[in-house]
Amino acid sequence: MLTTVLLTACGGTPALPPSDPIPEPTSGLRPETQRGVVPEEARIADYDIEARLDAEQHRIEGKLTLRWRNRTSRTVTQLPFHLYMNAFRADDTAWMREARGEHRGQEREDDGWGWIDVAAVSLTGTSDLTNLETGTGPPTPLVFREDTDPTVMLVDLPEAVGPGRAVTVEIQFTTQLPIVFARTGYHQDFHMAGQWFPKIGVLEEDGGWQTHVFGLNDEFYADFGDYRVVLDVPKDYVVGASGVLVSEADLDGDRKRLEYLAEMVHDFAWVADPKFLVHWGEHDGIRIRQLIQPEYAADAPKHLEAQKAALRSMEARFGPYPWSTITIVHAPEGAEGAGGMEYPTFYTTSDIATSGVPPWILEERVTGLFTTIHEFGHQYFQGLFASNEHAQPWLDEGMNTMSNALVYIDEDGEQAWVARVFGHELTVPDMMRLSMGAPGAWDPVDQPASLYPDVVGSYGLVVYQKTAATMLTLRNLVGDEAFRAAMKAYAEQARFRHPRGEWLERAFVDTLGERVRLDAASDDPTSPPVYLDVRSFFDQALRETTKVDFAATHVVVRPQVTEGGFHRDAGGVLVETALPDWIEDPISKIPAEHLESVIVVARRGEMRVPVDVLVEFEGDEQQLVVWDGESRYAMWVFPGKRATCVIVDPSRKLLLEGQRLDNVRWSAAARPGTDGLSPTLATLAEGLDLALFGSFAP
Amino acid sequence: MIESRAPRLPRGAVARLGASIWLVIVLAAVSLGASWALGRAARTLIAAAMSGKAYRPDGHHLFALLELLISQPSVAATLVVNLVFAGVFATVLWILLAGGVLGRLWRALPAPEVLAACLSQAPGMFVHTLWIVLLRGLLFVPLVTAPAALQGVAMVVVAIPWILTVAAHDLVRARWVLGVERRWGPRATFAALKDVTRRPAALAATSALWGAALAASGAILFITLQKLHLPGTIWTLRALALLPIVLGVLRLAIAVDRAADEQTD
Repeated sequence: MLTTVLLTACGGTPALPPSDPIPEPTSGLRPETQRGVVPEEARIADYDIEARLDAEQHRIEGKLTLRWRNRTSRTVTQLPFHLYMNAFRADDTAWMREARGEHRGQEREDDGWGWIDVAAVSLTGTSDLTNLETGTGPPTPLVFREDTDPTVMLVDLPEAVGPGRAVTVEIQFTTQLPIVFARTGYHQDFHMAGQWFPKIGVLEEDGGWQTHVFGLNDEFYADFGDYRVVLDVPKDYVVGASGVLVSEADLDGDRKRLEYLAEMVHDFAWVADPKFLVHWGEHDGIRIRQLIQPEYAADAPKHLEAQKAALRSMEARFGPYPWSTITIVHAPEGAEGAGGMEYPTFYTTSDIATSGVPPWILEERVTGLFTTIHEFGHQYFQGLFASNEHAQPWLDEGMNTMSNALVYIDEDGEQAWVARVFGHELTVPDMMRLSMGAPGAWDPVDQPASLYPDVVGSYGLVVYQKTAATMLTLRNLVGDEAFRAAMKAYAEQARFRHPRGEWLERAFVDTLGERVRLDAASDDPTSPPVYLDVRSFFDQALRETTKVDFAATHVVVRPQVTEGGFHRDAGGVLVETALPDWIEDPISKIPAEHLESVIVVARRGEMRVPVDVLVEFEGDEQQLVVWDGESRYAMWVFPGKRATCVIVDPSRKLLLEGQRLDNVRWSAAARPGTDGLSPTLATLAEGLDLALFGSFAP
Repeated sequence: MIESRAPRLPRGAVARLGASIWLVIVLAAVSLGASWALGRAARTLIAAAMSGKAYRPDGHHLFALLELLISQPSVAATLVVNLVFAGVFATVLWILLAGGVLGRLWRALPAPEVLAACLSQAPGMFVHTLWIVLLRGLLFVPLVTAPAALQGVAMVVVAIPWILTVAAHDLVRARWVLGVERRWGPRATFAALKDVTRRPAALAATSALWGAALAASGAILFITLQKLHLPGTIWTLRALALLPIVLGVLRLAIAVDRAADEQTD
């Protein structure tokens, strides 16, 4: 921090570490041998866009030509378009009503409205799917209007478009970028153009047109296709965009023309800023281009390494990354609202926090690096597996958060850390588990984004964290190998398609089976088998608001039942048997063979999930049992053994359980006389007091 | 000043300290005892919040602490109250004890006279501490107002006058107790501020002792935060806590030495 500050004050900046420029890939896609087959039926909407940036007015004049294919059995008479930028047009849009002028802690600037205005829509052709070029002709003006919310525009077609047919429409539009707010906009010379052009909705076979009104928690949903985009920008601007640069030419005056081609993507974003420095990297033929602000240039290699780690982990787990390039954008200071957003082959990250706190006090891998991993993860979860982010936001944000945790785990092991405070580590699973203990998860995971009220604030907790905790809990229960296989099955099915939650669940059920036997780890071969009901697990975790919470409630050591007293003998005569001598002894003196240990574990949460229970006995003996978690509590009796302690979920498998301090219980005799935490905190209190007394003395 | 027939202690700060070992022991006992009592009180309250819960060390103690702090906000409140109370207590305690300590470093006072000096000198100790606190408050102004880029420079700039206030605080209190200077107003403090610069060697020694005491407190803080989960940590902390007391008393002895010289002059 100090170095940065001093260098900046002296007019200098931290040096950009050297990197060799990587040549522009010749295709937006990697070779088929690396990326696999891209199904032709995924191609629905091709866009040709010509756009001119007025950097003074922060305005984009554009003309787009859309070739849209109807691959469903439906017939349509209307084409709905998203005009996402209109969310920032007025205070009473659906988005603004929910946000009340604030997004992720950032206030909207009073004079920073953004909007998109469509001047004309015309039909230039209809054809069948085999040859779109034959369908082009003179333009026919079309009637269009904004829907009840200005983020949706409806275009009437002069005649119905049936199955197997295609239409080509031209749209002239003007986009006013807002002052950076909620992912997009401008800040001084920095221009981030995200969701900047009219985008057609998705026609689903079952559900018809899907063109959601853009709300606060909503993100996006679109069909795949090729985007050819020509940008006319000031000559001194450094530009980054989805896809690859096909050609570049100087124009008259101080402007230049850049032509990009992004193949088989469902969106196109670009950024322009004269201050960008460029840092290059490469991974297995994928070009990694980083556009970074001078003040953070020194961190470029760290982001590059995070990006490579994400590629290593995700390609191994979810299949090959299909595109030939990835562009990482760092928004400048003051434009942080543009950070942390994903677009195809392009994302904005956040910078590593420079708090000035030395690493021996605090080290963290959350700010900056986590964002890089998270936003790249979206290249899979939504970029490639193009789910409907409005209808099932968990399927991209939550699954992506899970994949981010797996990047850390794949790189550094199961206990990979995200923060170290004075050397005390907080692991990735612990961070997620901690959020499960936080209050406010009152909504189920599997519901549309628009049903999460901003005031309640459950969206992030539920959609991101609970989904991730659910999937990682499942991984811990069934094992990484089975989990990988199921995720791979889902990924293969979801590539270049619009997967739904039930696809994911079905992939797990098909791969693992309806019920997974979990008692392999149990030490007791005679105990009944315990199964994880995969469907029930998903139902509870995704569609209910139940919580996982177990507690060890009883560790009772007591004498076994004796034969003392009167019993009838074979002749029917009552005969007295004396009680054994040890019966009057205190429990601690009675030999273990005459004792029995009773263990009770309660399920305090409503979610029913199998759990390991480890019982420790005198003499370092242990026994692991697996409980199906179905009843309210379970009781085990261990004859001839003196139990000392019981630990519920000793391997910390259940990330969904946020409160673990009631998971341990000692027997009365073995109780160590401390709860394990109050001495630690008393040391903290006394140590702080001593430091205070010392610094004040005398 | 203290009216006593007790013999004067030999000259030299180390000699004065050597002749007052029992005083150091008492101060250490008071400090350690107060910290222990406060820690014990915190432990009792936290143990109540942990009722029915337990943590068995498994390498995840940061998670366990955070879980407790989230689920039981009273624990965080307990720690904060403990710290605030310790701060107030330490301030009051050292103001109260300073007169007696300075008196004992000057003359071989018996324990009852030291106690009496603590009480009789307390008003003067309080007033002159107040002036110093106000002066240090002014020194905070550049720290607070400096732009983030210049915070480091501001800290260096403030450190020098800060050390002068430490030496002046010692001197003005020693002068008060020895009867060299009995003015209540801030002029006595300003005079001391000016005078401490006239004996660079003594000022350097005072600075070094103050810096060492501060470093010891920093070490206590660091070890506390890094090793709080280990059982033996508290004994290391208690042992380390003796250091700032010894160094502080030695620092006061330097001031007493000088005030005694001035008294003779």
